[in-house]
Amino acid sequence: MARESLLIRTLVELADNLVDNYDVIDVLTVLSDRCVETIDVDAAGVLLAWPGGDLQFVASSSESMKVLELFQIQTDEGPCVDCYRTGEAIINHALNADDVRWPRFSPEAIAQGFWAVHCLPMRLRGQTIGTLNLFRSNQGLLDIEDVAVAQGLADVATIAILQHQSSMDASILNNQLNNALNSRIIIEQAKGMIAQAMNCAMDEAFGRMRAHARNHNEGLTVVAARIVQGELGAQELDQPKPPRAKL
Amino acid sequence: MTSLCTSDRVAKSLMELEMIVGEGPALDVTRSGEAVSEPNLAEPREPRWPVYTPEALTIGARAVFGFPVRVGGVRFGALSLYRVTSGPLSAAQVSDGHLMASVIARAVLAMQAGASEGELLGEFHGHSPLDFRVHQAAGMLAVQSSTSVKDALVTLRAYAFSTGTDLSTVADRVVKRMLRFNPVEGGWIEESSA
Repeated sequence: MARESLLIRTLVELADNLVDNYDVIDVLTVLSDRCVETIDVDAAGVLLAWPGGDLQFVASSSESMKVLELFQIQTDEGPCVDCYRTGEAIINHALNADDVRWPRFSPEAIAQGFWAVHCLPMRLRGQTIGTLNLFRSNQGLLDIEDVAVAQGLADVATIAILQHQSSMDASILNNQLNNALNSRIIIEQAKGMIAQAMNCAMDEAFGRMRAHARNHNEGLTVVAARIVQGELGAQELDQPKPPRAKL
Repeated sequence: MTSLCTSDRVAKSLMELEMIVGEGPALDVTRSGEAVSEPNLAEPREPRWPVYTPEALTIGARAVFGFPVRVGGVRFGALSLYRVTSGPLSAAQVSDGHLMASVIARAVLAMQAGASEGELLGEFHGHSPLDFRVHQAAGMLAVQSSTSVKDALVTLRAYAFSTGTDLSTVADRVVKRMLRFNPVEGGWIEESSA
């Protein structure tokens, strides 16, 4: 599919998602997936700033991306950390194994198969609330349109967080960030339960939960919370790709 | 729900009031899992707590706030705050409220796991809520031992404390299926390297 039509489809899908009681993590995961499809990158992820300033992982297109994002948070070093601190985009940064800028991050990223990184700030009224991160397995340059599309998608991610629940004052923003981050923990707890009960990998556990949420038109976090609270068994989840939900 | 501890007489009376009348910020927070704010009890923007509000004003509160004490899907209760003057919390104060609520949740987990004083401190320095493997491992452990995720979070910590191992390391081994918990066989089992 041509990039324009992919992009239009993505924006329509996101706009469709941003209604009523949508799930922030779900929307940001869709956004990460679509970044990989519409921009010439191999993995995408979103980090948000925990109230107080620490970065926190919220969504990614793959588990290896997530590992790299967590690695940066733990070592307090890497492109996403720099992008958040400065509020400036990092575009087309080629990695090499003896990188002086990120001596710990670069070898780790290369080991996971990534050779170039791009990070875009998620900004609101002068404040950076997180970053959209795009990793590539080759060092070719992103073209100018790709960069514009990526920043557009980063802005959509910002809106997704802010729009969640209605009002806009600063204290409510902090509550929303906190809820988004706690949602991520609920999802990880539920993934662990599914992975154990179904004897599958974490990625597959996440896929099952997401498919179930979609089929039943429920928020991802709602489904995860029901699993954690023991109201919904891992065995009761739909298969990852059923044609239609059973009623 | 019961009131565990309070900072002063007013806070104590407010908590007791909530328990008696069955409505108020802490109960709302515990039910919804969301933070609650009423910056002006005398003229609330949205009328709620019809029995609680006039009594709370008499006790001396002018504004009340509640923060969820939780770890992911595990809800412990609420951190309730009051003010003798009306007015909202600043953004920084809201952040601090969430931070304190998170410290309380983790302190409860660590204490239930039998942490010593030094280990309790380690709970706040050694790792952070960033470490999702701990939460994945708790989920796995809950299923292995047929307990709640909350008990699994305690069990993980208890094992880390008793073996002198870092919590992240224990979690990592559970997620990699090198370590599992079997209640029938009496506890933790190391898998021989696969």
